[in-house]
Amino acid sequence: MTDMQQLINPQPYHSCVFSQLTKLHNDNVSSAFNSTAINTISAEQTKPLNKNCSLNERLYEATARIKILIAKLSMHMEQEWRSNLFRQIDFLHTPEDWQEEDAPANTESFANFLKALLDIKPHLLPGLGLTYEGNIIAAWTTGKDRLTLEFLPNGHVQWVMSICAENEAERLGGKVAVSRLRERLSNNDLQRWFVHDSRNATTESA
Amino acid sequence: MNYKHPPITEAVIEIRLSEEISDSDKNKIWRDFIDEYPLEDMVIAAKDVEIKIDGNADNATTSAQIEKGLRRSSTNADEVILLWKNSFIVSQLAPYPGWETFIGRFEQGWSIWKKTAGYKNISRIGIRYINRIDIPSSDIEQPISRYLSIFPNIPETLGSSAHYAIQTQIPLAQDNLTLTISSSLLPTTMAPLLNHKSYIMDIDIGKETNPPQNDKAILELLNNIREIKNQCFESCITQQARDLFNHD
Repeated sequence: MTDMQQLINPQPYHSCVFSQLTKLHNDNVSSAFNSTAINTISAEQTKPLNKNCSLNERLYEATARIKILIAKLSMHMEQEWRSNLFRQIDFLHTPEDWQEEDAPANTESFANFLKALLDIKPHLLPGLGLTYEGNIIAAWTTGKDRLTLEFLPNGHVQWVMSICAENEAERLGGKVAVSRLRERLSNNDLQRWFVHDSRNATTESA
Repeated sequence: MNYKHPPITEAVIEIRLSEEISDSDKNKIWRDFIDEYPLEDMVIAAKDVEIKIDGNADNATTSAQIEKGLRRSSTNADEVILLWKNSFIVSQLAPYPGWETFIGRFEQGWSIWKKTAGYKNISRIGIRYINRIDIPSSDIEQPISRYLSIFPNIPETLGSSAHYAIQTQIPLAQDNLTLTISSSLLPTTMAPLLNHKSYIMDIDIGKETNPPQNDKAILELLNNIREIKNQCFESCITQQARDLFNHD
């Protein structure tokens, strides 16, 4: 869509990811008739967060974007999951614990996390963290063993498995497209991470 | 029909005015909503767009008047109100809590809006529901007719669509309403779920001819529109689609 088309036909934007979905739908279908306006959010919301805004404003906006992403997929998740994810995002974006130079959660990274989550459907939600760049880190732990996934904005996932064997930590990992993550992890005993009682799962930040 | 997991991604009620409210009223109304809708944001829209082409398209110039609207949402970002100079919009993102809750939010918001704006002539009343129907990979190869009764008719020899978008507008005799149905298939790369096909079913019903001006009649109309919207949605989907919304 060109800038001019955008100007003529302002489209609804919910977030970076869903804006594309809604835009794609509306680019083709919503301009012909006089229709009920929908929840139009400014085009600026598809751009990176404005660094000139205050820290509180940036965190506020990033939190809202992530919550909209979660809401849009809420028909595929239990209320408990939704509440848990909201809590973790609120916690990660707590202004008091924030370093000015860190980036809030990246919406594309979070969208990839949601794709993986709803594909794998683990019994237990992971503890969430953020990298300095705002990529989502999801971690599951069982005893001293740990699975850590970093969701990159480009649709890939970096995974690291840390397993304690004979008092030595063994590590293996790699990078895989989010669409192939479940298959990749299946080769490494998928169930051990997602079915056990992972009360040790922790929320951490970079 | 009530579904366990309604596919509604956004529901909207819009009251459009034939006159504008003042900036000061708009700002006051915005502040009045602060308790229930603490997240705030500004939105923009282009109006009166003009394109001037003088012989050569490369030299085309454009101009537009930019209007700023105000948007507020709940802490969970799923309940939204939008204020424009000539419209009042209540929006609900997923998960959809049901009509009673949604219309209740509208009534409450409309009452707050009117307290400051006073009587204004209404030019259009509309309801719009955007649904996203996610078909799992196990059924991806099934024809679309298994789930929807509205789709483009493509000759079999051409294969199946990777992406489409269609729209139709139908005048309804009842209440002089206009129904607009938009349907699209998102390209796989744009689907929000892995191994799924996502169809959008966007139903918009509005009344522009003699819209009611008093609250009782407005609510009556909205309830009627909602019934029609439900009938429309049900007639556009199949039982297989309904089963998707009722899974455990």
